Amino acid sequence: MPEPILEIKGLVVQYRTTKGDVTAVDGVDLTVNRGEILGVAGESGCGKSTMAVSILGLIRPPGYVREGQVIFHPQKGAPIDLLTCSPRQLRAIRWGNISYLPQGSMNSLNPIARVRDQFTDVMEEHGERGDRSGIRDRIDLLLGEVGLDATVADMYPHELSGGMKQRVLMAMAIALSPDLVIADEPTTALDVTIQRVIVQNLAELSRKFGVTLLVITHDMGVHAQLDDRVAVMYQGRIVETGGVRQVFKDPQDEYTQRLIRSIPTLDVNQRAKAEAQESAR
Amino acid sequence: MSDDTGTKSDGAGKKIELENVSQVFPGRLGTRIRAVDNVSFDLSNEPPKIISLVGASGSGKSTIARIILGLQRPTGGSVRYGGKNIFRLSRRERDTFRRDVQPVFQDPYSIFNPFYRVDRIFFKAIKKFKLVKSKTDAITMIERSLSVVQLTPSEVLGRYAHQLSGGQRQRLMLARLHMLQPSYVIADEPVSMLDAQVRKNFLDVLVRFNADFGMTTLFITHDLSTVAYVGGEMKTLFHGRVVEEGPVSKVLTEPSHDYTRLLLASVPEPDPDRRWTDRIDLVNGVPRLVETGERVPAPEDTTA
Repeated sequence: MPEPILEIKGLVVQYRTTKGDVTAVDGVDLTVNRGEILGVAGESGCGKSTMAVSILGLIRPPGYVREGQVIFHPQKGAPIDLLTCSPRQLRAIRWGNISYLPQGSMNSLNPIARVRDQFTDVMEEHGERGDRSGIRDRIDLLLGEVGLDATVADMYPHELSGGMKQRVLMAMAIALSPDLVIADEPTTALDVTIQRVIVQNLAELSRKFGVTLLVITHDMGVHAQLDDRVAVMYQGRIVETGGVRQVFKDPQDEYTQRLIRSIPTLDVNQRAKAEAQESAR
Repeated sequence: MSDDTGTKSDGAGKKIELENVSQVFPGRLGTRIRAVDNVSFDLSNEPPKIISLVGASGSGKSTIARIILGLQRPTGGSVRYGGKNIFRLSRRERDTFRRDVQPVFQDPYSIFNPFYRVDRIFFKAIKKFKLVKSKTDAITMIERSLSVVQLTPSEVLGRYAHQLSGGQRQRLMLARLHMLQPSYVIADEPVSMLDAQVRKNFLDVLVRFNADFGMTTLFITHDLSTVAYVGGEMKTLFHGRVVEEGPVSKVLTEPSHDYTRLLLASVPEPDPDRRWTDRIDLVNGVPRLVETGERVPAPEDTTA
């Protein structure tokens, strides 16, 4: 029986505009089970990123959570609603229990601090006990987990490529052994080969550390290769949730069917086929 | 497609020839970076073709686009248009070139001046290239081109760029192409910011323009699935050099160069039953394909 780690219930998120409120997330119910890789698919503007930032109480004005609950089940202790808990509680949960890799996260490193110092900050801030040398060893180990050399720790962000920065952040995200990592468009804006390395890294995090992953991306190829289950989002709602094979092979919702059909492929005859289908109609 | 072909550019029949083009940029600590390294190829309009230029970021593909468009003077080699160096054209020849070789860029937002209505990109072009004389004719012309790319004139004209979606902005560029009827389109990552469905529509129009109006298109992208979609020919660029070229149908099915193979292997196949059986390792930052033979299968469906 799958055990939930995160339950999103009736989440409504809106943005205030001069012409009234716009609903970005429109009553989302979604459960993430412990240990799984759950993907959230959908085109740009469907509300998937807004949902991600809202889960962690990171939504900024003019956006606001109108209603709903986000129940987090820690490994030990009572479930907690992330939307109503105190900022202090939330701070303790972030990084420690839930890590967030924001969209374009390669731009979220501090440009004037060495990688090592940024790691140390996060680890000490969140109560990682142990002496400096212990932390040092742990950083080297973490960087190794995402395929980076230990020398990266002594570099500044500008000395790293986009893919390296992304992997530094992934290493940081698992530094405090969180239960859940939320990755928002982790492969966007990277070269294809590096995209694949990132997908491999994410799969390994899940396999080796048992981290639960919530992976938000528009890239259906990534979902097919990585996910256990997929939730498809459209116009602020989850229109379909299912096992990765079911969603790809036997989509039930009409929008999902359209989304699956529009996936770009490497088939060199696809346009000819599409035209033939069109004229046969 | 209707028979309204607009007024054809008078550059027809002129070839674009790149000969040993190199571009060296000054790098850190006095080093020199070879962004483009001795690249030679021709673009011809007879017959019109679609040629994709594929490579990772930093492979020099955008630099090549800028050089062909005359936006950047190469440090070595030459680009000729109709047999003449594009940096030594007479004023008249340059005007012909400017109309005959049109760019489409990645971010359709950046080419619009945020303070002017989007109509301006059409009126400016009409005036510059003297397409029609009266304002009424100009409006008729713009509306016709908009309808060809399935934009409703009343929905886009009179608006500012920020009021339109990315797809609409990119289609405005297509409408502009239709109006100008260039022989060459240099499209630098034109669809990388668009969603799958919008992307397909854009590519369909580009392919149709190629077939109906004889526009030869240099399609620059890092995305092999769009290359597979548009077809034609492709060139793989690696460290500023063309390492492989040929028909898309052949290169994508039987790649001969390791780098093309690596690019192909990087594309995540959208099929949970065909997960990767190999992996890409980075050895000192250099990606390498390693066969592992093991596959992490997609889980069996637990829900019936």
